[in-house]
Amino acid sequence: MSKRASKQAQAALTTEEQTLLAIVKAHPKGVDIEDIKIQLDGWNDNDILTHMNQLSSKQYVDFMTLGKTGKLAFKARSAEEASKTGGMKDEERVIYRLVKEAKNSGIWIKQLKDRSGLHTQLANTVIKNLEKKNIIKWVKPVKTPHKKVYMLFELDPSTELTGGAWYTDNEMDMDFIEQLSTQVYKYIVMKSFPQKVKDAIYPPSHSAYPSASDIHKFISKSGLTTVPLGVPDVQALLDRLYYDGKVTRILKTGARGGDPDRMDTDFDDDEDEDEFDDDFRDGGERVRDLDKGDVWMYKAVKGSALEERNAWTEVPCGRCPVREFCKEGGPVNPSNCRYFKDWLAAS
Amino acid sequence: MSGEKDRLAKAILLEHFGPIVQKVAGGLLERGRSTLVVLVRRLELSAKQVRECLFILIQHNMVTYAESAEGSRMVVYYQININAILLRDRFPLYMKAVRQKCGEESQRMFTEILRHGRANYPLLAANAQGPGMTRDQIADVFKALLDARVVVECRPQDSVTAEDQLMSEEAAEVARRGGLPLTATEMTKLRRELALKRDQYDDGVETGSKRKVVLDLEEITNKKVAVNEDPEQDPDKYYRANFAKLHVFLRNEAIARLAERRMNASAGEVVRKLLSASEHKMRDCGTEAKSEPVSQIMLSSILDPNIPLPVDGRPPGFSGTLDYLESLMQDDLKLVTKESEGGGGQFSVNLKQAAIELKARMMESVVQEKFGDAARRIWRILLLMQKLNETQVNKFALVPLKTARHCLYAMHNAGLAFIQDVPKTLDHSAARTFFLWYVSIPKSTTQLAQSAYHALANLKRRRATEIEARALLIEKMSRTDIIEGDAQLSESEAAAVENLNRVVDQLVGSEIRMAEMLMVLEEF
Repeated sequence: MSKRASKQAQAALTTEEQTLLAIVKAHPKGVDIEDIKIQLDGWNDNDILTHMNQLSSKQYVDFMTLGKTGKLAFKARSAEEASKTGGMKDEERVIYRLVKEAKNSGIWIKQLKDRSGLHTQLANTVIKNLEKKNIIKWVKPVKTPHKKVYMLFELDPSTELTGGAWYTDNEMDMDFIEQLSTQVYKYIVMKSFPQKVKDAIYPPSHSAYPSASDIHKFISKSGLTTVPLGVPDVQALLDRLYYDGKVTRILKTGARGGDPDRMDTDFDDDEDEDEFDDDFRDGGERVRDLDKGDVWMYKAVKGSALEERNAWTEVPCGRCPVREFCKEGGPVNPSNCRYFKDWLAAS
Repeated sequence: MSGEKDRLAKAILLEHFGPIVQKVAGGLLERGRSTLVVLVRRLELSAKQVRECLFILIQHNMVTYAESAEGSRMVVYYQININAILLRDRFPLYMKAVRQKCGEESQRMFTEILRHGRANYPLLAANAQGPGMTRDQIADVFKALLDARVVVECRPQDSVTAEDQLMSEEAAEVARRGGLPLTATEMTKLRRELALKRDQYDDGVETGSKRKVVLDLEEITNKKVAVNEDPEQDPDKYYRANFAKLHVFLRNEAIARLAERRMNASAGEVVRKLLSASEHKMRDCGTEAKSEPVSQIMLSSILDPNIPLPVDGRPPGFSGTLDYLESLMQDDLKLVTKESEGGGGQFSVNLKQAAIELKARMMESVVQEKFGDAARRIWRILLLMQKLNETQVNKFALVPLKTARHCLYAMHNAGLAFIQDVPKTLDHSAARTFFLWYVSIPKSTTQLAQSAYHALANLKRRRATEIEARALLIEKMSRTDIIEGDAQLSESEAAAVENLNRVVDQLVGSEIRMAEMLMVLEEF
């Protein structure tokens, strides 16, 4: 069907159809047949369904099922969408609907084919067609780069798929993270020790240590990066420094309670069979971190930089790749060990 | 574990006492509690040699004996204490600790005690006399050692095997109660009572020989005939080093250094003095979980006035003690805790936590050196969060899943991270199981100690090899004409000597550091 044809179809709505469409349009979340009957006097089920079928074939209405009861309901399509899908073939429409339902988390190509119920060959051509018309597009999720995931062309993929600010071209950008955290660490160090007196400490009541949003402001102002970072991203960066032992956190006075010793470790205990569930769960965690707000102030830790070296890894045995075989009198033994030889010759 | 320990113990004995003593001690280590006859037959040495070796080992507090009646004869069993051998490697550390606590002269006297194992006062006074020291000064030096309790008097029981002491005490007690076999509950109760009694008795010894309660008649008669007015100088009294106390000193110093690194020298001083206030009551590293509380005011008065406590924004002349104490409380390490509010706040040091922290820092450093920064972060995350699965680890550490997995398995192989499986179904199918990662400091301590024993024994072996390879050169060096300067070493020989010295120094230095590491792992 050409575009012109669809316009003709639109023009060709009967009065009954127009009345019905007005009612359906009034319910953006969908309306079922009972509700329609209440609003239209003298119509029986048959009339409604006949006209509804007409509307549907003219691309004005979608069929849907309501809630868990599985009741049939109807939903109006926007004019823009109606014009976009108006010219589609039925099989194209099926694929379009599935892709649209998946929103910005996308639908995996295999699921798309299965759920559409179309023959693989046909589904492939249809998908290709839609891609060509710039109606749908595919992206590679970071977690499962081998899976093609489809979504509507105009949508931005969700952070679950792109991995968020830390991913460039589907790979975690370690250099970027490293550099940014070094800068953040320097900033915290600057704020953690008094400048005036050498080797002095701030009194324990000191409360001008930076919080996550302070650091977020610092990053945005400094122009360190062109990648837009949210407060949760900065939080992740700070957590990383905290786990590194480079900074410590202090409960902000006046912030709402919680045991400062304990980290927020209470995960939801949903069954998470596959990786995707995992992702959603972690995403939820991130949100919780966010609404904790600025509970913590961050302070640099002295002595984390100057490594206390341990004796064991300094001697060759601590780094020995054949330690398991090392035995006096065996083929690998301390008396003729070449690692020892190198070590003793080196210094 | 015991294999590595035995190997190291034998290496130490060979170095300190030579091959024959090593052989006898080796026999005891391998076979356990034995009689003289068994040892003689097994080791193919003469009875005289074995007996003399045992004498040396007893003198140096490594072997204990027990007499037991077998039929009509008395049989003497000998038993060796491996830990007493292993700690010989840490003598330099002990000597340093004594020097810090009691001064240089005391250290010299302490070294004499280490050299003799057990020594009486006249011997020590004769050997430790420095140039121009009066008799009173020597007596003072000795008293300083006794007061610090790094040296204690030997008791006859010290040479009797602890287990046999226990058994004979128990038997005596049972006999006193009528000699009938006791029920299990009665026996447990009895054992508890005896343990309590022993503890009290040990306390008595710990307080120094001067205040010791006179326990037997023999001692009273000795006292009557004693020529010296000072009972400590009685030539019949022998003294030995008290390593448990030295461990306390060394641990406390390590804790103070931890605070120093974490904050600054002033914080280190605060912790040091906080510990020293109750140091005299600590008998060994395992007993107390916390040091005794000290009030802030009291602490201020004992702090070294030469170390200022700078705090930003406080007026000059302001005492920073409280600020420092509270900052230490606020710190992640939680070294200092507040016990009560009295006297401006009573503070104590959390010894148990500090000991764990010392070990944790060591493991962290091992993880970092062996597996890199990412692994260290992951290790710390697991330490903080207890148990996590792989995807959580990668999320928190902000590293790619592949790296996280790689680090985790590398640490698992090295005994620094462990897996706990939580099956979802009864069939324990791997597909339906959570695999949670965790780290455990006690578990890793054992693993790391094992590796450290191995490495230390290797270092010793290597040093022996290096010296053996240059045996001819060393022999030449000790020739009289070389020493007196009549003949000289060739240029290449001189270079070889220098190289040998450098290599041996490097190995010895590493050995001491390894021994220190083992001390932290095993004793603190």
